[in-house]
Amino acid sequence: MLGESFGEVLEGARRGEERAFTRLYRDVNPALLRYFGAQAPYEAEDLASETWMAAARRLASFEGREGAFRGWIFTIAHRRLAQHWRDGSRRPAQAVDPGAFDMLLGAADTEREALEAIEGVAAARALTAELTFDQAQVVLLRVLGGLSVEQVAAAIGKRPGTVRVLQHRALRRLAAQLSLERVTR
Amino acid sequence: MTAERDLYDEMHRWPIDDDTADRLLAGTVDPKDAPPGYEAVARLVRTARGPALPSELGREASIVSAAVAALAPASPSTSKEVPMRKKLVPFKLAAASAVGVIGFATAAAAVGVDLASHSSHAGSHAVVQFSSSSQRAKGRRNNKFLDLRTIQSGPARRRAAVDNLGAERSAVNMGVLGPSGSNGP
Repeated sequence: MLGESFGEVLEGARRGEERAFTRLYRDVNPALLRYFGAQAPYEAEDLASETWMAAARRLASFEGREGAFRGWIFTIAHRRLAQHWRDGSRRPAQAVDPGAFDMLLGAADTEREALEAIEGVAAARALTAELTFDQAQVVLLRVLGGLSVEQVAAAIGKRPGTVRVLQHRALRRLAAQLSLERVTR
Repeated sequence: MTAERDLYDEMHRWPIDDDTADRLLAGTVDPKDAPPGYEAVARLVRTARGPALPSELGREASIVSAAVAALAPASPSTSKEVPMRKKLVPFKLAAASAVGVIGFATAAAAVGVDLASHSSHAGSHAVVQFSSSSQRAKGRRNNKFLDLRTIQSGPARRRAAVDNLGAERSAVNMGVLGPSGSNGP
C-alpha cells in the first residue's frame, strides 16, 4: 500500500512519469497476477498487461483514493477476464495443484514461512478450486483486490446483499473442504 | 461420532458473522484466533495476500513504458489546437458547393436547359404543381410553349455539355473532386 503518498504518485503517473507509474504497478501487479493466475493460469501475464494498458488509457478519468484505485483496477481486470471467457476460453475445471492443500496445511512454521513467499498463486487457486464461479469471483476480489462488498457488487453486477450471501457460502464451503483435507490426511 | 462430523457440527455451532467474514477475507484474522473450523481458511487467505515475488514484477519495464505511452492526455479540453474536424469544415463546404453546382449543370444539360435564357425568363415561368394525372396532362398541353423555349437544339445542348465539362475539369484541377467525379480518392 502506498498510503499517504498515493495522491502524489497518482498525479505523477497521470503526467506520464514512469517512476510514479512503476510504483503503482509494483503495488498492484502481484495481486493482479494471482487473481488471473487462479482463474486463467496460462494467460495470466497477458491479461495483466492488457489490464494495465486499459487502466492507462482511462487513468485521466479516475478520481478517488487508494482503496478506490485498487477497486477500479480490479474491476477492469474482472471485465477483462469475463471478456476472455466470452471470447471462447473456458474456465479451467481444476486449476489447483492437488498437493497445494497438503503443502499449506502440513508445513512446519519455518517451511510455512518459505511457502508463504512462493505460493501466493497456489493459495489463490486453492481458495477457489472448490467454489462456484460467483463465489470464486467474490472471494478473489475481496482477498486479492481488497474490494469492499459494495465495490465487488458493482464490479460483478450483483446486489451487496447477494455478495454477502455468496461470501458466507464460499467461506463455509472452503472451511469444510480444508477441514476434510486435514481430517482425511 | 467421527472427527469429520465433529468439525461440521463445530462450524454450524459457531457461524461467523459479517464482521468476522470481512476480517477473514481481509487477512486480518490470525489463524490462531480464527473461529473453530476457519483456521486453515485464515492461513490460506494470508498466504494468498503474501508479499510480492520478483517473478511477479518480471515484465515491469515493458509494461510500464507501454502504459505510459498509452496514457490519455490529462486535459484534452485545454488544448488550443483546432480539432481536425473543424479544420476540415471549409474544405467540406467548398466540396459540397462544387458538387452541387456540377450536379445542377449536368442535370440542366441533360434536359437541354439554357441557363442564361432560362434565368432571363424566370419571371414568366412559374412553377405549376398538379394534383392529378388529368390535370398534369392538361398542364402539359397548356404549357407547350414552355417545352419549345426550354428544349435546346443540338448546338445549344453541346455548348452546355462543354461548359459542364469545363466546370468538372476545374474542380478536378482544384483537387475538390477525384478524376471520376467522386469526392476524394
